[in-house]
Order: sequence, then structure tokens, then C-alpha cells
Amino acid sequence: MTDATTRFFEVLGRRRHEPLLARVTGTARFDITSDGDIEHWFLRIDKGDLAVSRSSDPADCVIRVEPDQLDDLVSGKVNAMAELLRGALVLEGDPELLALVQRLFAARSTQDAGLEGSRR
Amino acid sequence: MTDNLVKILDGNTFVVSDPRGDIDATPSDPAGFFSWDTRHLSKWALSVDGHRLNPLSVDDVHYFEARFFLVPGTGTVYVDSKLSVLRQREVRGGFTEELRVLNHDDKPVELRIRLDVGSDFADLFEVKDALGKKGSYYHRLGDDHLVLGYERGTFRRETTISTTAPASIAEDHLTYHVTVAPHGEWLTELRVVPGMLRSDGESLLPSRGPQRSRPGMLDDLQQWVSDAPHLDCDWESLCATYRRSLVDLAALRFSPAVAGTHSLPAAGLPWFMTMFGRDSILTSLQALPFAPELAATTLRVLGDWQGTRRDDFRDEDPGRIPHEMRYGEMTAFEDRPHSPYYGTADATPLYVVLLDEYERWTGDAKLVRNLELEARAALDWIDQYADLVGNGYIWYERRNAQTGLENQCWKDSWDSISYSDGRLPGFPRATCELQGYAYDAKLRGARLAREVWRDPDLARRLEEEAAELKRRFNRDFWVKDGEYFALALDADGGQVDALSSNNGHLLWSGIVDKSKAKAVVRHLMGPRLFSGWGIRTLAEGEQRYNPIGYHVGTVWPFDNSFIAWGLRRYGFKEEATRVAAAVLEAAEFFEGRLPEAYGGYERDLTKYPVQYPTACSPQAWSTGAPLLFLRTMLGLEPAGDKLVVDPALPVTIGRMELLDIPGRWGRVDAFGRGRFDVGPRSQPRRRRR
Repeated sequence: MTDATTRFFEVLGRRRHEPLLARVTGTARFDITSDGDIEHWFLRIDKGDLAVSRSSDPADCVIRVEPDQLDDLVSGKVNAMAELLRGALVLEGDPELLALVQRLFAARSTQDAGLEGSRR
Repeated sequence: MTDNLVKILDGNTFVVSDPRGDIDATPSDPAGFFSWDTRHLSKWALSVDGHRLNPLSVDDVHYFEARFFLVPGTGTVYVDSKLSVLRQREVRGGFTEELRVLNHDDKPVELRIRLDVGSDFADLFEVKDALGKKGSYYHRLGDDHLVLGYERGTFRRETTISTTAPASIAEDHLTYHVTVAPHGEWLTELRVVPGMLRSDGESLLPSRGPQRSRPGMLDDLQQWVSDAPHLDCDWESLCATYRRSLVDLAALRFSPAVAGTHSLPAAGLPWFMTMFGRDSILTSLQALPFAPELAATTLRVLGDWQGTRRDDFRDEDPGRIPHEMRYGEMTAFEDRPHSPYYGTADATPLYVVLLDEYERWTGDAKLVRNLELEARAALDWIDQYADLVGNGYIWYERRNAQTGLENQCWKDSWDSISYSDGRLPGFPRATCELQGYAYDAKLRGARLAREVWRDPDLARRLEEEAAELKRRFNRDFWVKDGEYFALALDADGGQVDALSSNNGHLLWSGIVDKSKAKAVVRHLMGPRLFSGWGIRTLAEGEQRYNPIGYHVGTVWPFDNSFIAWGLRRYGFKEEATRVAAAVLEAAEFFEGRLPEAYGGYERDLTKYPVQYPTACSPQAWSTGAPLLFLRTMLGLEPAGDKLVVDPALPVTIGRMELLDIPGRWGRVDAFGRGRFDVGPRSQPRRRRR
């Protein structure tokens, strides 16, 4: 597990509520595959209330990525939709949740929106 | 239409072929079988004994199916053939083609039937700009199928072609050696399925349930038409135009990847079959009295993709509503920023306008509560991110200088925003209609804040800002000696002083001082702007005026539909009716299917509307225009839980009834009789296209 991803989920777990997801209820699971191993981060959203765990339970939306890739996603370096279209990110389940969960990635929260983000 | 191409479609999957049913695309040619912005077939050409076929007739039965009746023959003169060939094609998931060869002779006949196939897997952007490919092609042969493929790293797209009759299959053709009995027939069914794949060969997007069957699609279309209000009137062609609009709107419904089975209007065929912020919003507005569910999906999906950060490549800001989403190779590899791209200055205020108008019609306060965060963020965007100069107006200037859009208003071609003398202003630019949309968004946002979100402070603030904006706008944009509103302000605050149709949008938004309205209307209905077939985008006499210039002289039906709504808003009933009648009469020349734009030539000069050469057709907001004209002419306006009807119809219409108009009142009927003389009508029957 890499630092950026771990930090991201730990911060998310402490945040408890994200107003950007106030109309969202659902579960998303990130499957991180590396050398045949799979690690999970499990995110439960209930009208914007967040709960983070390492569960491998079934989820409405499952996103399968490699460790570096998830680092880049959560830190806002790469775009989830482009990754998906390129076949680099594997999605099972509800694509709408992926679009909404993207709001949580770096510079996508209400706190720091507009202050940073990918600049090309 | 001048191109003779046969187009059938279902959402964002479509086939564009010649009248024989063949596809023979060149790199820059829009023919082909397209799905999710990728061309999955660039060649699909049928021959019998080495000869291509000649079309006897083409029948595009429904928007998703076409029938081609063909005979062998070599020249332009019809050959008395003992053979007929029928191709029946329908788009559904991929497409299916039933190929039938009939022998009319008393003797059996031996034939070599060959179908040449191929795919360049071009991204729509590549077709538009004729660009080259970076990946590699592959193929797989099966007993009854052929797979054409393209890959570049983990990016993979495939086309699977399968046949029910036995064929000898090679990578670029299928051949059938058959004997057809006297008065007998030979038949095969070809199925073509596009694949948008991951590197492990699985589908990129999760399946959305079983593929709809043909009866299912017919039922769906029938249901769609019967759910819409019923129109009956003495002007027969108007009824035909109305029906055509409903059917085309059904065809253009499109389920973007995130919307499940809900649909929203895609922009048009062939270039814009995708999620478009501006087009989806304006079409949903036009269709509100007829198919309010389109607005609900548009609001939800655009809300899902609303910007949440600064991203220069995508011209994204927090609160900004996306401009365009694309699914092809160039988007996947970020050669283009459409994942999604946010470079539009009008979709964000218009989002709030649609949300309010949707609630006024449907009473669906739940959706307004659900999207409160998105609506507030959109309102914040107007003041925090769009005011690039810091003087209280919406400005635009792309941050992505390579592939971003220069003009982020609906008139988005390079020369659309000019001074009267033809010079082009620098950037940023503040076009006038954007300020109108912002004004309207603030007032409508205030109503939602007061009545739905229970936030009177926000409501008061928005109303104060709107009043202040209106005051400033009427001072800064008003061209005093010409008595109209400038097209834009330049970065120095100077007026970009060309006279344009944008003045009409200002009436729609309500930002025009009452005292100035008469002068504005005089311009709109005067000879420089009104051609007799509608209001031109740019006035005759302006340096860049060109009657067949995309945004500098043509007439856009959608533009006119909003202008007529604006005329009505300021009490100019007769003028609104004249504009509506002019465009609806033009529709007769296009068999009820209004193109994106037609020429701005004087009506007396041409007697018929001249289609703009490469206009998209069908196109969503042109398809929606007749619907909004009907609303305007009947004077339909929600007032609380009632629908007010205040008709102003041209005498040519005679009597009109629109039955079962859905809304918060349940369903009500509207009746009207023609009272306004709008001038003589042309007779399209004498000249067809």
C-alpha cells in the first residue's frame, strides 16, 4: 500500500461527512491488485455520511486498479473517465457512483476546491 | 438535405450509408457505423458477381431501421434484371442486416455474393479533422464470424461480424457461393456488434440489461409518442412537423454511461451524438411541456459531472456544468479534453434556469432539493469563476490553448463574435446573452431558494444582484446611436457593436429594460435581421455578414424559438407569431425536419429556405424548436398549479388543439384559433428540396 492512497482513505474516514455527496447513497470498493495480491478499501456513503473500511464485501461499484494508479487518481493527477475509456481502470457495477466518488479525489472536496489540482 | 446519405440511429449508435446501403468511407468522410464516438465500420460494400448494385428505392421506415431495394446493373440506366436484392437494416445495440436475394427467372441462378468489410476504428474527432492512427489492427476469423480489432496499450475496440448463412470468410470480406432456385430466394442475416473493451477482453462498461428487441423498440417509440400531448390543427404540415419532431427526439435520446436506462437529448447526427451541456439543457427546455422527463435526466446527469476543481486542461472550475463528454480514443489518451470538457460559459447559468422551469412545470420539488448543492455551486460559479475581469459579468477565455474552445457561447465558430466593421475582439470576451442567462439564473435561483430551499437570505441576495446586473447591463451594452444591445464587451470594456440575433435571447431572459424593448424588437423584425424565414444570426450590412456563414448570417431554428419566447415575454405577441410561422413554414421544405441552420437569404429572393451545406440533421435543438414554437403560440405558462393558455396563432393555422399537456396540474388541453395575419405563405409543394 502506498502513502498517498492510505492517507486519502484515512482522511476520508475521519471526515465522516462530505457535503458534495449529500444526495448520494451507495457503496464503492477499490480493489488494488499488485503481483497477484488484492487489497481492498471499502467506502460506504449514506447521504454524504462516509464510512471507510478494508472490507471485501460486495459493493454497488467496484473499481480495480494498480497501486500507483490509485495514488494518481486520489491525488488528482489522472482522470478516472480517461482511465476507464483507455481500459486501464476496470469498473464493475454502477458507473454513476464512479463519477460521484471522483468528487472526493484531490482538490475535489469543498475545503480545498479551487486551490490546487492538476495543471498542465 | 443534399447529401443523399441514409442515416439510422439509436442513441449514440448510428449507421450512415449511401442509398445502396454501402459504406465506403474516406478518412474525412462521416459515413460508417459508429458507436460511442468510434467508427466501427468504414467499409461495408455489397457486390453480386463482381458488380455493385443500383438502388431502386430506400425506405427509412423508423428512425432505427431502413430498407434498401436494389438491382444489379452497371450504369445509370435501369437494367431489366432477373434479380432483386433487399437489405433490411436495423440499429439495435449494434446493427442487424437481413440480406435477401430474389431470383425472378424460370431458371436457377448461380451467384457470387460478396461483402467487403473493414474498419479504421477512427475516433469521431479524427474523422472530423482527418488525423492518423497510433495503435495497431488485428483480426480473428471464425466459422461464422469475423472479428476486426484495434488496440493501443490497454485501449481496445472490436467489431464482430457474424453471418447465419455459410460463407467463406477472410479478414476483409465475406463471400457466399449460392444457387438460387427459380422464383426462389436466398437469405442471410448479418449481425454487427461493436465492442468497447478492456485489455482482458471484457466490456468496458457494465451491461445495462438485455438488449431491446425490435418490437420492444417499436413499443417504446409508440409509448413515447402517445405520452406526449396530441396536436390537432387545420395546418396539416404543422401536425406532420410535430410528429417528426417527437420521433426524432426519441431517436436522439441517449443514455450516457452514468445514466442507466434514463435518457437525455444528444446533440445531433453525425458529429454531436453525445452528452452536451448546452444542447441538452436547451432541448430539455424546449421539450418541457411535451416530455418533461428529459429535463429530469439532463439535470441529474449534468449535475453528476459538475466541475469540482480547477483543471486547465479541461477548463474545469468548481460549479461549472460540463460542455461535452466523449468516449473515443483521443479522449481516452487525453489528446482531447472531453472526459468531460467544461469550456462553456452558458451551460452553468442555463442549468439553474432549467431547474426552475422544470419545477414550475412539474412541481417536482424533490429533484430541486436533491440538486440544491449543484444549483448553489452553479450560482457561485457565475460570480466566483466566470467574472474574469472583475466587473460583474460572465467572461470567457480558454485556459487550454491547444484543444480548448475559443468561443464558449452557442455561436462557437471562430468568426462569430465581431465588431460591426468586421474586426475580431481579443479575449476574454463577454457576450451579451451570457449576461441575460446570468440575470435569469439569479432570479430563478432566488425563487427556488425562497420556495424550496427555505433560504430567504440567499433569495434576497440573488435578487439584489440581479437588479444590479440589469442596471449595469442596460448601461454598458446599449449601443446608443443604433438602439440595440452590443454582441459583446471586449476586455477593455468596449462594445463589440455588431447587430445580432443575441438581442432576442436577451428578451427571453428578461434583462432588457422595458423602455428599450420596442427598439430591440424593431431591429429583430426589421429587414436587416428578419429574412422572412426567420431571424438571422447576424444582421445584413455587418462586415462579416454572409447568408451562408455558420453563425454570421444563417437562420437557426433553435435561436428563433427562444427569440419568439422572448418576444412573447415582453408582450409582442404578433411578432412572436410571425417568427414562429416563418420557421414552421420553412420546416415544410424539409419534410418537417428542421436542419441545424439554413441560409439567411431574403425570402422574396429564394422562395425556399436554402439549407446550410454541412448542417447536422436531425439535430436536437432544431428538433425541439417546433415544440417551443407551439408553446409560445399557444401562450402556455404555468401559474402555480394552473396552466395559463393565451393563444396567438397565425390565420394560416385556422384552429388548433393541443391535448393532454402534462404538468403539475395533471393533464390539460389548450385550444386556439388563428387571428394574426403574418403574410402570404410560400407553397413548398411546387419545389422540393
